[in-house]
Amino acid sequence: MDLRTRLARLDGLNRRPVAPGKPEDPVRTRIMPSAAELGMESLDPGARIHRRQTAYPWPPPTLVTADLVGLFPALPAEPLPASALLFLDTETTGLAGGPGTLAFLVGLAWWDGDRFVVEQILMSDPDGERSLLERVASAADGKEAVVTFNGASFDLPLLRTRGVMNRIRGMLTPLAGLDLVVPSRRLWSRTLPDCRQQTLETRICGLERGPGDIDGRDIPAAWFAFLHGEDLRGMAAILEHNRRDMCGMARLWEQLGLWAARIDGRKDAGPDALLEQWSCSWSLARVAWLRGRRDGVRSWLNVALDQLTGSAGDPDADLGRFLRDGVRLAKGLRDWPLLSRVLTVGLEILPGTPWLHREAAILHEHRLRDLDTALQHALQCGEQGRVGRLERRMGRRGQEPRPGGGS
Amino acid sequence: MNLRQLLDQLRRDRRFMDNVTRWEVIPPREAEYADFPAAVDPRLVEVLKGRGIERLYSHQAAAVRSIAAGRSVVIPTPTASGKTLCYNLPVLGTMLNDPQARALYLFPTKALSQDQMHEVHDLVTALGADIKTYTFDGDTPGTARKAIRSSGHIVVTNPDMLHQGILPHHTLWVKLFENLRYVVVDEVHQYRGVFGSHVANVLRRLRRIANFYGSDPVFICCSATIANPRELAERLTGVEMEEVAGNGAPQAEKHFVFYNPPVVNAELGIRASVVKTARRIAERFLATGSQLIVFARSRVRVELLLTYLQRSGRKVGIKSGQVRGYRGGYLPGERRAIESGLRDGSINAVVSTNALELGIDIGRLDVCIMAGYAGTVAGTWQQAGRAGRRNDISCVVLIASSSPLDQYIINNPDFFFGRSPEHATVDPDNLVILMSHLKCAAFELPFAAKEDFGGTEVTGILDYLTEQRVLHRGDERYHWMTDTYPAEDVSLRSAAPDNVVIIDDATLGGQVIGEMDLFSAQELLHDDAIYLHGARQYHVDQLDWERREAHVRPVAVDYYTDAQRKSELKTLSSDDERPFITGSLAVGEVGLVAKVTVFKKIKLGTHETVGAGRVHLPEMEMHTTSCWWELPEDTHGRMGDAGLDLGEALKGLTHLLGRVAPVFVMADPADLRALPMVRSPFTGRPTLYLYDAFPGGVGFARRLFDQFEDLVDAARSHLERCPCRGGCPACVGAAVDSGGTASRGAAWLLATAMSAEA
Repeated sequence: MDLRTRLARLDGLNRRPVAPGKPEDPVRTRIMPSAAELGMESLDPGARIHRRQTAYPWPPPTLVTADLVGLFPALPAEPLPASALLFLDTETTGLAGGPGTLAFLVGLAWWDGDRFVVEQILMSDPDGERSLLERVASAADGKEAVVTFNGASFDLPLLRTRGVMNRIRGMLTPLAGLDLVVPSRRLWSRTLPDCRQQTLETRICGLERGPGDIDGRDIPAAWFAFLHGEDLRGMAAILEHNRRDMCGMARLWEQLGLWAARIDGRKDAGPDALLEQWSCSWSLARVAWLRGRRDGVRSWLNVALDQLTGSAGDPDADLGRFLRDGVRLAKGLRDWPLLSRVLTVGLEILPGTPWLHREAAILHEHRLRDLDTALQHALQCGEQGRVGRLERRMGRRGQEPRPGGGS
Repeated sequence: MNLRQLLDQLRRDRRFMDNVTRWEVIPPREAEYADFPAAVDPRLVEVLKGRGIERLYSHQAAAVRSIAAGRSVVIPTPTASGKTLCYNLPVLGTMLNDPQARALYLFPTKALSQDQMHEVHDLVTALGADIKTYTFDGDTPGTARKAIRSSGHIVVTNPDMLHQGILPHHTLWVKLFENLRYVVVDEVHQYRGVFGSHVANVLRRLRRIANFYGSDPVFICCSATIANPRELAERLTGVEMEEVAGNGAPQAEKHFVFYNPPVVNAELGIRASVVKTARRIAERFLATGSQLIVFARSRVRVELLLTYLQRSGRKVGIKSGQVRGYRGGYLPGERRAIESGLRDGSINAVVSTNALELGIDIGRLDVCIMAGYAGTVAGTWQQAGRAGRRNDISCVVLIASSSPLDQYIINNPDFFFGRSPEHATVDPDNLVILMSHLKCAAFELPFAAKEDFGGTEVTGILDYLTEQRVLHRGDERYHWMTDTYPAEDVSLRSAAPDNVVIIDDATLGGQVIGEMDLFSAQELLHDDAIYLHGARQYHVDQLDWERREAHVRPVAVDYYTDAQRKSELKTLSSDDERPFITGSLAVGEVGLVAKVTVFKKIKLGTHETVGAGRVHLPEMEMHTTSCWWELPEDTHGRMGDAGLDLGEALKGLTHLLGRVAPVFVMADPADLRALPMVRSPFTGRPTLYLYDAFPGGVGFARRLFDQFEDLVDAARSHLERCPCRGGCPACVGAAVDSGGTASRGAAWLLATAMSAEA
């Protein structure tokens, strides 16, 4: 019995089916996947990697990285203009990670004067990976930061792994990483159903992908079909998907600047439908705190409270979290009238909530010196110790009034 | 009464001695010392001298010298002979002089890794050196992993973690792989059969990755005493090994007693309970004030014996806290406390599963009682090594259970006490296993066009995987090309791709009481079977074949079940043949088709058939390696002349060889199967097949082919010594199963085999 038959029989014992597809004769002359038909030019003599560049007239936003304080956990020390950024997005053979996952397509984009340039590097033979990585590294020359969507946990570690596998140390490590996922979550996760890039493109940037967009899950198979010279359409769809991803990231970057301006109360930023939702105002108050904008915190918190009392006040699961945030932020500002408002609104919407009463009791006892109201709240939340203490203090006050009171 | 007096008393005790099949006295042995070799760093010498170690044992010094010369070594030494210094000295010495150097320690279990950690840690602390030692296993918290990857000098782990957690993420372990100087593989004798064949491939992957990063580590292997430590270590690591022979550690006089409890049911070959016997014997030793360890085969037995012994201990003034249990499931802190209690003498007795069999340091005790054979000679010596003071008498008692393997060993003490008969077998080139690991290896690093894998040419398999689109062949290399993570699908420990789990539905939440391969499950776990487990009867309520679950509940019935398996074995190719006395012997590939169709209920005692049933299970197919013994054509007629039945004789002989063969190749009884054919369609003659119970085979059959003379010899002596009348499960099978003449018939066949003039 020959090896092939034995392997096939033994393989059949492992119940897991092998990858589908028609058998391939490995010694047959390989059909070169035709990158030229996809409008790409080969970058190496072996025609293993290919490039497609598209440029759009699109002046860069005037925003610098320093404008985005509070949106990202860390920003480069020096403010960077848009021209210092490299946008990057990879398409891979899977999400498993580890050295068996390849990035077969790397999308790169940058502003060059008043043009936005998208360059896509495609690999048609995995043995061309080193050239691909070298091209990525050279595109990063002169750039200061790499902007990705979820790249901190996926694209960048993957490229580093690929670098190690190809003996290129420190792929892209000199660049600061700016992952758009973080500011997106900070700004919109409480308002939008999810923070996937496509959701943000639609809801924040007003872009539509249309029906032709390839589903991320189909991407590996489409590349395999391209590799085997079977079908170019899938690969064409991936290129288009990746191109849109690149443009989407740049749009999102622009939007971050606008939203930062809104947080700071700049009128030129213009309105947005999302701003009418209390959960959005709440998020902006939080980011304002992270930006160190006390006025912003105060005004967005008040906006959120206005919106909340104006609305039907449906008991939302997030209300509790919002109120806790509101309490924390008002305390942080040491703004007792604001805290009082948060608690009042809170108790209107969620009457009888013990922790709100407790906070109110503390506020009235220690900050507002209104022992009667404090006692009311203490009774509501059943804190016997506090009730007893307040009654003693009030009794003493009745017998021998002391100026200024005091605790 | 002290230990020596008790031993004298036992030797005079007729009732005790009636059950003793061997009382071996191992004479004391002086230590053989050697000076510290020049290669040992003076700082280490100083630390050791500070601990009272002025010289090394001869084998330690020899190991250190070879390792220092850059040679990979295998060190076969018994328990408590100081093997850890053999590797810790060179490893720590290297790190003292090169802070970049890294080492990987592989232990088969987590518990043992923990213990080794402590030991290395102590040495490092005494050295005052910045050598970081970390355990990396499934319990390592995510937050610690990053530090371990970048700064661990010595990484202590197990093969499973190496396979699934380290190699597939090698790009995160650049520091380790670039500077990997040593790989320590302890307990290599445990890496055998299917598990060993997997581990050999994991080590091929390890060397491949190390080479990618430019390192070529020295391998240091430690083994219990087996017949072929060097061969095994070389097969496992793919590296040429030097065997460090000899054991310089001293040993005082040691008594080794083989005890076979009396028969209580001769037909079924059932003997008095091991647990009760162990309890009685342990009580007598406990009363002498000796420190003792009792090994039991299961957690339940540990708990049972523990309860008994705590009770008996109280009668002789030993508090319950001085008699402790030790098994998996105890908390690490508790285990550490027991270990140190044993070392400092505050604990008198410990009842343990084989969790303590491995090199965990509990000092040395006076007495070791084994309630059941440990499964291998090597494992038994390891357990026995727990008893043995440097300068005081010690005693080991092995108590046999009714199982055929135990009965073979207890009745054939020469087999045990002679030169080690056990050959650990691995076959890294088993196609199923090899292919699994080739996938993992290709995931880790693309294969170059002509690259081999641990010396094995694999282009054919790589091309096959390319055809299947698991790999993609680029201009120069084969690349992993699917959206999956292959290491996740490969378990190093499961014998077959899937097993049936046995669930006791009478317990709360359905406790799993065992596992069985698919072939055996059809025979023993079909619907309405009476399944015997740990001397208890269970009724199989349902065998859920799709889910691979057998649901059972304990019962007490007066019958057992016997399933009829129709096996069809096709010989596909004969790879090797040789004449064997009057017949011939061959090894090759076979295809096996088996189906269980009916079963009978047979009444205990009278052996009447009291019922029957049909079994509806799918046909099983397997492709494996077999060794077969072809008897002369006229055997049938000659047996008939002697008033014997060939069919019964072959069935009995098959049963017998099937029980004896595993001990030679260190196989689990379930790893090897035997099948008789009165007339094989392939040979046209009476033929007896012994085959690997794993698809493709892992080398057992091949090993038996080479050792068949020894096997037949052992089988004959076992049959002669078996005290049963006309057959029992320990030899040719219960007389009722194998027919009345099976025992005589099997003896006739063996006698014929051994006499050339027949």
